[in-house]
Amino acid sequence: MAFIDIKQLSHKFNIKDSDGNVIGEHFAVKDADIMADKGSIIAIMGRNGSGKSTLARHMNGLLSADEGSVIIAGKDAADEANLLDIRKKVGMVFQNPDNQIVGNSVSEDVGFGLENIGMESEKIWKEVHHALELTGMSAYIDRNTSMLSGGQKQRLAIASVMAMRPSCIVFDEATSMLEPAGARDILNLALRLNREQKITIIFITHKMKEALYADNIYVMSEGSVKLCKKPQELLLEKAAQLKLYGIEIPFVYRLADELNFSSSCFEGSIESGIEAGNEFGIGSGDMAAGENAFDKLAAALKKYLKAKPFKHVDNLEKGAAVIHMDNYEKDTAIIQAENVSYTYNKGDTSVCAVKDVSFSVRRGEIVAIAGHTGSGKSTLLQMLNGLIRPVSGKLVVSGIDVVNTRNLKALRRKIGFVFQYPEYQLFEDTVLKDVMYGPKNFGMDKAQAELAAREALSITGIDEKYFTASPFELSGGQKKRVALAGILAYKPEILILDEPVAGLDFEGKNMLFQCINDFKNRENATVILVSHDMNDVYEVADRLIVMNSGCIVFDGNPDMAFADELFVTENKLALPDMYIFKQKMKPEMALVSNKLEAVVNEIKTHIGE
Amino acid sequence: MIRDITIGQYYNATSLIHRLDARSKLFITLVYAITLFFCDDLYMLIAATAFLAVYIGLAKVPFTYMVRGLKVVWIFIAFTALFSLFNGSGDILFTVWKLHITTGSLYTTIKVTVRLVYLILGSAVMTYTTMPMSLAAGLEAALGFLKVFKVPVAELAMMLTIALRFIPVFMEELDKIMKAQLSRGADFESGNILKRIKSYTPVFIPLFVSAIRRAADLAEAMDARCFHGGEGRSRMTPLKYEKEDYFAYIIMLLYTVVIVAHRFCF
Repeated sequence: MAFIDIKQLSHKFNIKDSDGNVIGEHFAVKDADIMADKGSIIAIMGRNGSGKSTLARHMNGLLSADEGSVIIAGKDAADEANLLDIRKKVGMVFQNPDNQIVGNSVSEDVGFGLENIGMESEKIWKEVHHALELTGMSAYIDRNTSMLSGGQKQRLAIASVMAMRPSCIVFDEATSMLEPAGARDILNLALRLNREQKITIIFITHKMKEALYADNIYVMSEGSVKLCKKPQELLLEKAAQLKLYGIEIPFVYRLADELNFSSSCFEGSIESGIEAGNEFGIGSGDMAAGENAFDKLAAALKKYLKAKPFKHVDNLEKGAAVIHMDNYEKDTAIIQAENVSYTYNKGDTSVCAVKDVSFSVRRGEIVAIAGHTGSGKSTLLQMLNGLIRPVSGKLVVSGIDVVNTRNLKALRRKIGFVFQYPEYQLFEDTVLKDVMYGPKNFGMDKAQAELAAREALSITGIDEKYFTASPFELSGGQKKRVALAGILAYKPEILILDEPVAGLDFEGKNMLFQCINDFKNRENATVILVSHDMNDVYEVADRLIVMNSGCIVFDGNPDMAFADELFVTENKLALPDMYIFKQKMKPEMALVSNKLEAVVNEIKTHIGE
Repeated sequence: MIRDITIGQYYNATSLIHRLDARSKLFITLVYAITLFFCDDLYMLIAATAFLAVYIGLAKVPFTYMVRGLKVVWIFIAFTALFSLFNGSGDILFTVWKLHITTGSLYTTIKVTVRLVYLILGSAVMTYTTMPMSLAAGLEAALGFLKVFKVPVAELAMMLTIALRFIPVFMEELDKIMKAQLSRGADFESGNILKRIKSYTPVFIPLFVSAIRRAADLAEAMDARCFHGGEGRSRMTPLKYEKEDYFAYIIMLLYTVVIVAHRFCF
């Protein structure tokens, strides 16, 4: 019998009217069948709200089924007497690192579960040491949990689960709030526990990179399981099919799909790419979406090109470059920083968060800022709108001297600062009122503010029927777009975005970038994007600034930064998929653009379609 | 700035005071607090100061770190002092506008301020040197007799630990929300008191919503890790008295005897 055996599971929520009367029911999960063998890896994918997290909560008895059966390790979850046993067998690692740590110190947190089952003190400490060793956290045993990084907190959550000696761990979007290095680390740890400790792993995830390690991928939509396939089979599904369920399509497959590459010369290549990935040993994994598939796609394209004559390659390259430069020189700098520094006191030492930084940004430019946590990038951003003032140096933003101005409001009026998770700052009782908050603060009267709010909400694609709804009733993606509208509404000249797509699914992410792009084009706004995802950076930005230990270590064309291998590892940058692909296409085809759409057009022009 | 606040957080160090049992430290704090109320002449002030100096010294928590971490509390005490300074009888020393500072008010102010400051510092040593889990265990043991009256002591102790655990999380969140609303043109500093309080609505509602969300998440995470109330739980660090603890009790008793004797016999 399978370790997890879920049959025909349904879970419903009652829909209530404002007086609390039940007026209907909504199935979060409907007739779902899921099986996982002991020691296997299962991934459950689907857009936000597809029911995958609800399903996960049945796996360790946090929710109970309305219909159907849930059998875990031979025990029926419907019987309350089994619950404690099931929870011991199946551990959960949740999305938010902060909200699942109970202990003030690392050891306290790891011991929490064991205290709950009444283990004696000596045994608890033995288990705590063992679990910390397994997860590589031994050095942190006495550390205060609030001092850990996000990645370390998730590692601790895994340790706390491992202390219970489980047979299975459910990861409920456990890496979605982490930066790439941290996410990679957690993924590797999960895979290692699967290999060495034979732990059954359930990934609830948006990330194809994680799902591809699974033995089986379940795809959910609107509460039902729509597909259950091996990773290689799933990748060969038509892109349209995956899009329908809101699933991320790996770059190579998306590009192949956009190019309408005929199956005859291409599909075989993908398959062998996946086979090559299988030989690597740990499921099909990254290899299918990574290096190998890139090689295969590039090879297939090149082979195809040999049969076709090239067309005006030189023209295209030069033309694009010229237009690029022209746009900028006509305009003056909108941000000018000269030798800007910021220091603060921490304990008895003074810390230099930003050191002697100089740069300028021209109107209409899209600049990406990268750098790992603690590199000083958030300090730098907060100086731009005077949330903190530079200790020394000169900083002029949109004509205002940030160091000396007494009118910070005038400065902030020109800058739209979208913090990470902006949806957590919503507070009004209706969507419209919340969006009007900024415009009203900046001196618009009620009628003007409402007009501005309506316009901004239409840019971010919020339907009018939601205008009078409470912002807290919306879905995660909608909340984020309402919060964005609240900033776009006063038409800032500069838009600062700090990890704007964190926590969104594939569709939500594309939609948000589309909104930002629309606004930028309409208002000729300057955009500063902070992101850990180099794919987003490469797709969106004209220019890249990399920060490390408070200094700017790179400022220029993204391609130049990625070309330097040592630089990329030193600054923990990942290579963008598109960049890798472009390198593979050389020397036969020198692609100029960075955006998927533009690259597809370039290739089509080359081929002569 | 907000992140400097370290009230209730554990300060990691190894010291005699860190090693003491949580119950002993509770006892020390309680006794010290009570004796402070008797303290109203110079000798007793010297005694209380000396005691506190030795106590903090033994705890190996840097004094400047403590003072900075309790900034919010100092502001409150300063206000209290200001009010009491203008309230009292006796000969008039100064007059500021229509308010008088008298010998009586000056004396009371000094007395009250010193008591409050010592009280705060004394109890802060306990929270800085005791892991919240042990503190909760200590409280649970000390208040255990209330279980007879159906007071859920174990659950209350757990709530205390969790509250302490989330202080830094909410401080960070408060800082972030304030910055976000400032970016949207919020103004927390102008207008009369009423307007200023109102201007904080966009900060406190998101903070409140977040607290509820975090509480729900945490409850789920605790459930997932087999939490089912205080019954049947064990402790990974059971409370245990060592030699130092007995010394602590003896010293505290002696200290009390001396203070009480001084207060009532001289």
